[in-house]
Amino acid sequence: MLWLSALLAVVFGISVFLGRYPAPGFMPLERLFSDEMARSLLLNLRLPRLLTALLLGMSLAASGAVFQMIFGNPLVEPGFLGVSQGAAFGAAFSIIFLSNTAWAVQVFAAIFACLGLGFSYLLARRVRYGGWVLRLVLAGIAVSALFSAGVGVLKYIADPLSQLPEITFWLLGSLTSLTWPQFWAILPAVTLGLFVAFQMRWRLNLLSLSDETAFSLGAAPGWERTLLLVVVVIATSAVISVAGMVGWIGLIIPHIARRIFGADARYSLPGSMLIGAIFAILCDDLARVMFAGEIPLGILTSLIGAAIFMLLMMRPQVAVKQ
Amino acid sequence: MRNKILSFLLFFVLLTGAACSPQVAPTAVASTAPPATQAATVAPEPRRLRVLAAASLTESLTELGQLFESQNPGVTVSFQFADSEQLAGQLEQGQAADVFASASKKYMDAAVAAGRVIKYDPKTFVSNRLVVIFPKDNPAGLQELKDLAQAGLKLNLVDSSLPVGQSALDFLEKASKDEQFGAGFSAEVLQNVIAYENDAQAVVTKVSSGEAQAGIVYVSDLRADVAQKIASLEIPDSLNATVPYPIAAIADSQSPDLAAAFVSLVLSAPGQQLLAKYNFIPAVTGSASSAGFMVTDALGRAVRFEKAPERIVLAGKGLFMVADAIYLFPEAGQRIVALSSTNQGTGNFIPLIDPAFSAKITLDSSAGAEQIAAAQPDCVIMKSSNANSLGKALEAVKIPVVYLDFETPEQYPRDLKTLGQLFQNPEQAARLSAYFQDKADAIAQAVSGLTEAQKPRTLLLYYSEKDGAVAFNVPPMGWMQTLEIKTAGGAPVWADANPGSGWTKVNFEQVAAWNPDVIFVVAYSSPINEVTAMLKADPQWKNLKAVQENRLYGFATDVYSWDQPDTRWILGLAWVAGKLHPDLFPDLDITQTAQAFYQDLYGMDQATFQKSILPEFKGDLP
Repeated sequence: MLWLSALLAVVFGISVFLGRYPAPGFMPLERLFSDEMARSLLLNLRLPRLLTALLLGMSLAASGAVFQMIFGNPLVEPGFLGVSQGAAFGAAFSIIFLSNTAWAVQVFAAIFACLGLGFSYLLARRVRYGGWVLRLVLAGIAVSALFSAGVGVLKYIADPLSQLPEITFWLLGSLTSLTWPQFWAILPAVTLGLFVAFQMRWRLNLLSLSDETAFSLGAAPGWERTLLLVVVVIATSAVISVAGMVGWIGLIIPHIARRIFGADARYSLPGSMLIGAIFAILCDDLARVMFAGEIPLGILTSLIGAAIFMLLMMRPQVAVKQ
Repeated sequence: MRNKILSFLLFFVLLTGAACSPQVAPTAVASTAPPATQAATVAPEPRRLRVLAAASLTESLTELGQLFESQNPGVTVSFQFADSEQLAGQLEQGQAADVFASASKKYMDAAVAAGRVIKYDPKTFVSNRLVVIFPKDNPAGLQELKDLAQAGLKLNLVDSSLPVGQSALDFLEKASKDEQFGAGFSAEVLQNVIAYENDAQAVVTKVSSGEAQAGIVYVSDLRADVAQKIASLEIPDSLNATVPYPIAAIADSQSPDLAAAFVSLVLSAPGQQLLAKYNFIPAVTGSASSAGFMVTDALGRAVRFEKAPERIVLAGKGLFMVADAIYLFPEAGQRIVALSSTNQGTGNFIPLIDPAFSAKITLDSSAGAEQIAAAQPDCVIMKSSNANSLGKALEAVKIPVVYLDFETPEQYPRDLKTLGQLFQNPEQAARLSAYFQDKADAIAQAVSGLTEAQKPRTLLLYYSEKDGAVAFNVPPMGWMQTLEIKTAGGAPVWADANPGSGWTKVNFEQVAAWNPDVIFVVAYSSPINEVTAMLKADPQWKNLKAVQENRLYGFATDVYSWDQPDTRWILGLAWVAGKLHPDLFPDLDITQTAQAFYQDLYGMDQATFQKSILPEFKGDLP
């Protein structure tokens, strides 16, 4: 765990000096002292952006880990259970009808994300065929599709000059133009979510068992599960509200973490957070440094994430240990 | 295994990172041409101009008076400097005068009320603002405004019965409401006051002699003779009181021509520069480049520039239409150092009008803030739709951003005015606004006699082949395309079909149901002539009235299509009007009109037009 933290610190430290100013690649250290623009870019753009990428990776990976354990399903992540799409719908709804301020977007994203999750869960319980894993995935697909359609309708209504670019940009997922105010706006919700999840990490092991077993081991499975799910959904929708839809981190990172640390959530959850943060920072480095025009972050995480996922699946010894 | 996964990750990062190519380094550009100087008028016989002015203007206006006398041989300027209140009183009692320059709006209003000045005549010519002054050796060690509250500081203020004294108290009051200063700030500062003087000069004298350790006065109170001994702390705009000084010619002046000339000298660039020398803040935007100027943009933001920007970057998405409007200003070409793509897929217009285009940096239209900062801009211009995705980040690193729209005819004069401020060329902005307005008015006038029944039922379709699927789209009611057809005397048939605010798809059944008299087709990324030929040959389309009567037109296009809110909209309007009502515009020669447009607006000579624009003519153009 310690070496992962150290790696995160190193990646973060290097990334701060990585960018397209004054030329693509590394910015020499002495430039910071001689060039005010370099200093300003580093402090006002790169730093908040990297910190947000860090929170983004941590939140998505943590919520993926929590989802996968609680639902006993290695195939779920926020994007598969209507959470991301719900958050997207809530945010787009807020941008068009209410207000484009960070707080309003965040609150609406969180409300609709919780609705999406709740709806997926209820729907999965009502589905009459298939196992729990399949039902949950099916319900998630249906609910996600519903919200995606809703986002489509909102895009149709949106003003193509002022609102539509905002929504489209945001659906692809990107940290472009991220500045301190946005970082501060999401910090409380993300800190709360991550802190509660971290504190409950060992209970997560109990909660992943069947209700009877968990209860006999001293957990109150119903409300504790709800609490955990709600806090990670709040953290996720907060980061989604500023970064847009960044996929695959929530699915792939917990798998990697479990391979390294085993299924015990006491280690795999913080491990997920750290690896998620590293992964998000590296992907964002690519997004902002590789080409003169920025590549949407969501595309990169999906591309790399899906590639790793395929790789993991093809390894015969991979199995999710409960 | 675990290490393998991570090393795979790192490998991927390094691999893709290595693929990135270096970017062209920014290049230097030539600086701008000097502003035009004021022409002097000649007055033969000896005449006198009587100016009543506030006492604080004594030194500055006296020098301006000498300048005026040198520009107008035979004219003597006589000044009376006194309290504004006293001067307003004299005007009320009927004292003869030609010009009144007041230190406060209140007393100018009194002169207006007395009937000596015409109501809308007064113009703000300078403003004044508070500043904290202290002796140069800084015995109290003042570093920031908060230090005014440090115990034992010897502070000197002006009595609150005078405007400057009251302004100082207002500043302290405002600061106390600011969290940075704390609620007790005002009280703590006032405990430090050693004396309240009866005029500002007394404060300046005491501070310069070191008798007081700090004082609060107007910047214009800082006399040149003590400037060496005094340092100052700026008070931010949010806490400062900006006091405007109005000037006006007296309504019953004996020499109205001289009075008007004097006022315009005060408001001119040399006049404003002279006033700035005496620490007044010039009020006329764009005239006093030494003291900075303000630009108000499409989002209503006021952007301050210390000097005329000379490394302008045009950035963001949807740029080409805005870029064409920016290049209407002759200064633009030499000041722009980088711009994002202006090619809509069919060509690039900017290289035709900017001989230095090849030396400019080409940015990706999704270039981020860092990429733009690498061009070292002192001003970035973009469409306002980029505000959130790009503008905010640039503002965060203190690069001034000016937003423009240029989307509708109404926004044209507003955005031209913004550019006029930015390039300090308001005359060009006014000329261009009038140009567009006159051309549009002439067409609106010509079709104004038409009844609704005489207006052809018109459809405008945008043919798109996005994602391999052919689609026909209609624009919303508020867009330029719709407005062009309405202004040119057409009746858009699709009014109910597009309640949204962007292009909306319609199918052929709907087009057939409308069966319009006239159809205009635009195609931004496909060759328009092929599209119209294909549609005219289509057996289904052949049943449409417009096709049968040969009134399906490919929209006029040169480098860009004329239907868009580009500067060419005015050409598009003339062309649509000619197609809808050939009887009303029998003399319309569209090639001639286009040539005049490029000549008038871009200074393009006939040979270039023949060589570069004419071959690009597409759609239903001769």
